[in-house]
Amino acid sequence: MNLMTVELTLASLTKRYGGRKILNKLELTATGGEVIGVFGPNGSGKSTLLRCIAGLLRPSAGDVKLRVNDVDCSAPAMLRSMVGYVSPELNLYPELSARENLKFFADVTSRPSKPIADLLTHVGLGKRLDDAIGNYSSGMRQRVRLALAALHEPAILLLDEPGLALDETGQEVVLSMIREHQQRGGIVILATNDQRERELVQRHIHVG
Amino acid sequence: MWVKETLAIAGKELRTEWRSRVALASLGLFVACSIALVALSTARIPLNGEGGKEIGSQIAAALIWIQVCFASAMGLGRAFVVESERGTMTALRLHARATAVWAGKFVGNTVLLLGVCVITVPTTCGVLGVTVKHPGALFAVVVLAAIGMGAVFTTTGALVAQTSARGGLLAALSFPILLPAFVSGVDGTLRAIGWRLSASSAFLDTSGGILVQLLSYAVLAIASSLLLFDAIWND
Repeated sequence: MNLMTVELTLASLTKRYGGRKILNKLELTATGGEVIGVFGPNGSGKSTLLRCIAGLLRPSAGDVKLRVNDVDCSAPAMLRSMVGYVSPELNLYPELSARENLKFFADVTSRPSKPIADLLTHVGLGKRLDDAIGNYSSGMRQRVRLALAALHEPAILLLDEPGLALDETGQEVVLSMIREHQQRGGIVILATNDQRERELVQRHIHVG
Repeated sequence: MWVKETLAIAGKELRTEWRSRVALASLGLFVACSIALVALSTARIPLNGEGGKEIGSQIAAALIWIQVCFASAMGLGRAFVVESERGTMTALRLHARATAVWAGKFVGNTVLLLGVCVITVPTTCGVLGVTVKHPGALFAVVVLAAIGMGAVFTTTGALVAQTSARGGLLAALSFPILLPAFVSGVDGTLRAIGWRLSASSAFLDTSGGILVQLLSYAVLAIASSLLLFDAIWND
C-alpha cells in the first residue's frame, strides 16, 4: 500500500478487566514515520494496548481512531486490516510450512501482498521455507511472525517484544524492518525491553 | 473474492486436519467402535423375516443418526477450539473476514461429516442386513442433514470456543437446535430404506416433503449463522 498520510489517535483509551483498570484514559496522536515506544513493567498492559490498537480487543471506554490516506479506518475490521502485528501470543499453523502459512494468509485477505519467498528470505528463512513450522525453533517462528506482519505492507506495525528468542541476525532483521516501515511513512508502535530497539523510539507512552 | 477466501480457509482446514489427523483419529475410532458394538450386540437378534427386517430398519435409522450426531460433536465442535487453544485465532482474526471464516470452517466440517456418513451409513445397513430401497433418497437425506448439522456445529463450536466449559456446553447448545434435523433425518432414512411409516409420523406425506424440510433447515441454519457470526467473531 502506498502510504501518503497515516494518523493514529488514542482518545481517553481505557480498558478494564473485571474491576481492574489496565489502561486508564490513554491519549496519543501519532503520524506516519514515527516510532512510538510503549514502556512499563510486566503485566502493566503493554500487550493489552497493542491488542486494542489492532482491533482485537474492544476498549472499555475511549476510542482508537485511524486515518490512512484521508480514509477513516477506525472500525475494528478495518483497523485489523491496516496493522501488522507481532506478538508472542500469535501463533501460526504448525502443520503447514512457512510458505504455506503466508500463502494462506495472503489468500484469505484478498489484498495485494509482497512476494512470499522474498519476504521469508529477507527474514533469514530462505533455506527452510518449505519445512513445517512445527519443526522450527522459537527464533525461527518469530521470524515467520515478522514476515507475516510485513506481508500486506501495513499502515501500522505493532511489535510486542519483537526481538524475543531472536539471535543477533534476527534482531538486525527487526531493526531494519522498523527503519523500512518508518521510511515508508508508516507508524511503528513498539513494546520492548531491548535496549537497541528502544534507541529507535522517538516518543513513548508509559503504562501501568 | 469472498469465495476465494472461503476456499482458502476450507483448504487449510482439510490440509491441517489431514496432516495432524486429530479429528480424523477420534472420528475413526468412534465410528469403528460403534459399528463393531452394533455388530456384536445384534448378532443374536433374528433380523430375517418381515418382523426382523422392520426392527433392523428402525435400529439402522436410529443408529446411523446417533453415530453421526456423536461423531459430529466430537470432531466438528473442535474447529474453533483448536484455533483458540493453539493461539492461531489471533492471526486468523487479523487477516480474514468473519463470514469467510465461518463459511470455510463450515465447508471443512461438512466434508468431514460427509466422510463419516460415507462409512457409517452403508456399514450400519450392511451389519444389520438392511436393504435400501431408495438409495438416491437416502443419499439426499444424508447430504442435506449433514449440511444443516455442519452449519449448526460450526456456529455452536465458535460460541463455545470462547468459554471454559466447552464439551458440555457444545452438547447443551447444539442438541435443541439439531432436534428438527434429527427427526427429519431419522424419518427420511426410514422412508428411504422402505420401512412403512407409523401413524405418529404420517403427517409427512412423502419423502419429498422430508427433503424440503431438510433443505429448509440447512438454508435457515446457514443464513442465521452467517448473520450471527460477525458478532460472535468480533466480540
